[in-house]
Amino acid sequence: MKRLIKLTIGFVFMCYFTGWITHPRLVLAAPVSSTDLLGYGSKYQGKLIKFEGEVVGDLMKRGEYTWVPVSDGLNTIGIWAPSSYAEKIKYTGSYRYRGDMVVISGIFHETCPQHGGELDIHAKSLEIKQRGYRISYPLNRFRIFCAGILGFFSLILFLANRFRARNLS
Amino acid sequence: MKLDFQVIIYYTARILMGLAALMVIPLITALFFQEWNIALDFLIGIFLSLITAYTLTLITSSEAYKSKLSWVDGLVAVTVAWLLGMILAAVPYYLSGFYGSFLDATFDVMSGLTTTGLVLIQDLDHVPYGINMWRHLLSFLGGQGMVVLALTFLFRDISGAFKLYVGEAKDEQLLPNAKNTARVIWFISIIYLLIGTFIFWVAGLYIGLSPLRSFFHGLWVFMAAWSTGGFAPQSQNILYYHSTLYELVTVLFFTVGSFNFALHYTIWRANRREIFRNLEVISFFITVNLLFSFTAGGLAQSDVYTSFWDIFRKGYYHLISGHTTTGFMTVYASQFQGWSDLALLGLIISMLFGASACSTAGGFKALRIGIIWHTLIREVKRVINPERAVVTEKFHHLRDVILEERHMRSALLVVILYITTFTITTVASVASGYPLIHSMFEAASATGNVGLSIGVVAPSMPGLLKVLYILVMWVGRLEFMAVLAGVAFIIETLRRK
Repeated sequence: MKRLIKLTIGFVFMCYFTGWITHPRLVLAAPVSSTDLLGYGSKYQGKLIKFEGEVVGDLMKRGEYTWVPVSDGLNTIGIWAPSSYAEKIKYTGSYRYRGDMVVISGIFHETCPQHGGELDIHAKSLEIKQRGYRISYPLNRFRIFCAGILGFFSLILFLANRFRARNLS
Repeated sequence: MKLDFQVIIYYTARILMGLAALMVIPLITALFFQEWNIALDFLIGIFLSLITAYTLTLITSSEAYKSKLSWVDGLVAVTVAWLLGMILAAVPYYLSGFYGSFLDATFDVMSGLTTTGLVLIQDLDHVPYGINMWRHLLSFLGGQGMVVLALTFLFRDISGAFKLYVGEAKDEQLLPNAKNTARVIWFISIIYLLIGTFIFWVAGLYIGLSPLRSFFHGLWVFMAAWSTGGFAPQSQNILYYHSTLYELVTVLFFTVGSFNFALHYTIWRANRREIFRNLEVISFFITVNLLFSFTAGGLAQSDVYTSFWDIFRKGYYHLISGHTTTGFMTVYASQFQGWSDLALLGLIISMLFGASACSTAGGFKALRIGIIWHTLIREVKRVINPERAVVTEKFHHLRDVILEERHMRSALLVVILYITTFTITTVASVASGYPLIHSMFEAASATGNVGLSIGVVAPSMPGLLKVLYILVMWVGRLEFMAVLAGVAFIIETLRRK
C-alpha cells in the first residue's frame, strides 16, 4: 500500500515537472472532427487539439503568421499558423488540385480573443501527412456529342426564326 | 392559341435569350481557366436556352410581336420567365457534379436570382471558376432583375414595357420610359461594379490574396454584396478572409446596394440632401439600430462573446447583413445555435424588415415600414383632434408625399402577405422536425431573400421543404403580385375551358 502511495506521489511529481498537471490544457491525441468543434466548441475552448484535413483555397500571409484554411471534408476551419509552417505547404485544394493533407496541433478557440471572436485554431505544429496533386479531368466525349447535337438544333431554329422574320417584314 | 398566351410566350422567349447570352460570360471564364468539361456544361446550357427561346418564338403568331402588353400579361410573362429561367440556368450547375440533385441545383439558381444566398452546393472549396462566376453572375443579375436586363438589351421600344418592369417588383420609374429606366439601373450597377471590384481587389491584396485570386474574389464578393445576395466563393463565406477591413468593405457595398435605385439616381443628379431626408433611409437606420440593441443585449446575455468589440463586430455585422437582406456570414451556421433567443429575434425581425424598395434587397421594405409608422401617427392625430378636423400626414420619399389610403392599403397588404408566407414556412419547417426558433430563423431568411442560415437549409433537408423554400424565395422576390397574377391567370384560363 505504502509502495503504491509512493508510486502515486512520484507519478504526480513527474506530471507536475513535465507540465501535465499545471498545464490548463488537455492534450487530445486523436484528431477532432470539425463537426465536433462547431457543435461542441465550448468543450474544446482553449484546449490543445489535433485537427486533420486538406488545405484549401488561399494561404493568406499576415506578417509573421499566415491564415491556412483546412477542410476535413465537412467544414473548413481557419488555422492561424506561423508563416514558417505555411511554407511547407505546396498544394492548396481547388478544382484543379487536391490540397496537401495536414495534421495540425494547436489551441482551439470557439471565440478567439485575438481575432474578433472568430472560431479558429492557433497552430503549435503542422505536419504534412500527404502531398497534394494535380487532378486531371478527361474530356467528356458524351457531352461533346450532346453539345454538338444541341448546337445543330439551335442553328436550325435560329435560321427558321430568321426566315420567318424576313417573311413577316 | 389565344393571343394573350402568345404575348406572354413571346416576351418570355426574349427574356430567355438574355439568359442564354449571359451564360457566355461563365463559358469564357471556364475556357480561360481550361475547365473544358465545365465549358461544355455551359455550351449545353446555352443551346438548351436558345432552343427553348426559339421554339417559343416560332409557336407565336405575328400579332404577338406587335400587340400591347396588358398588366396581367406583363406579370405572367415575368413569372413564367423566372420559372423557365430557373430550370435552364440550373443545367450547368447540375452537370458540374457539385449538386446532389437537379432540385438542389434549381434551389441554388432561385436563391441566386432572388438574391437570397442560401446554398445547397457541395464541396464549395473545390468549385471551378466557371461555376463560381455563374453563381455570382446570377446573383448580380437577380439584383437588377432579369427583365431589366432584357429591357435594356433585347427589346426595342415596346408598349407596356413598364408592366414587365413592375412584374419584377420594381415600381420606381427613374425616367418616363421603362427601357431607359432599365438602362439607368444597369448603368448605376456597372459603374459601382468597376469601383467596387477595384476596392475589393486592393483589400484582397492587402489581406494576402494573390493578384489573380484577389481580382476574382473581389469581383464575386462585390457582385454578391451589391445585389445583397450573400454568395461567396468559399464555404466559410466572409469568415474565410479573417479581416475587419474586408468585412467593412462588404458592409459599405451591401448597404449602398440595398438603397433604392431612385435614390442613387437622385444623388447622382447632385441632390445630396435627399439621403438625409428620405423616409426609407431614416426608417432603415432607425430599425437597424433599434434591432441591434436586441441582438447586442442577447449576445451579452448569452456570454458567447467576451468583449464588447466582439459583440459589436459579430452582432452588428450579422444584423446589418440580415437587415439589408444580404446574408453574408462571419460565423458558422451552427454557431447561431449558441446565440440567445433575444439575439436571434433581433436577426429574425431585421431579416423580415429588409431594406429599400426598387433595390436589390428583399423583405417588407423600409418604405412600407415608414408608411405604416406614418399611418399610426395619422390615426393617433385623428383620435386626439376634433372630429371635424382634417388630418393630413406627409412623408418624404424623393419628394413630399401626402399619405393616402392607397399607400396604406398597398403597404399593409404586402406586409400581411410576407407575414403569412413566413408563418407557413415556419410551420412547414417545424412539421419537418426542426426546432421552432431554427424554423423561424430560416423562414425569415427565405421570405426576406436574405441568406443567413442556422443550419436548416442543407442538402439533407426534405425535398418538399426545398420546393417550398424555392417558392417562398420566388414570391418574396417578386413581391407576390406577379405570382398571384400568374396563378389567377391559370385559374381563369381553366375556368373558361
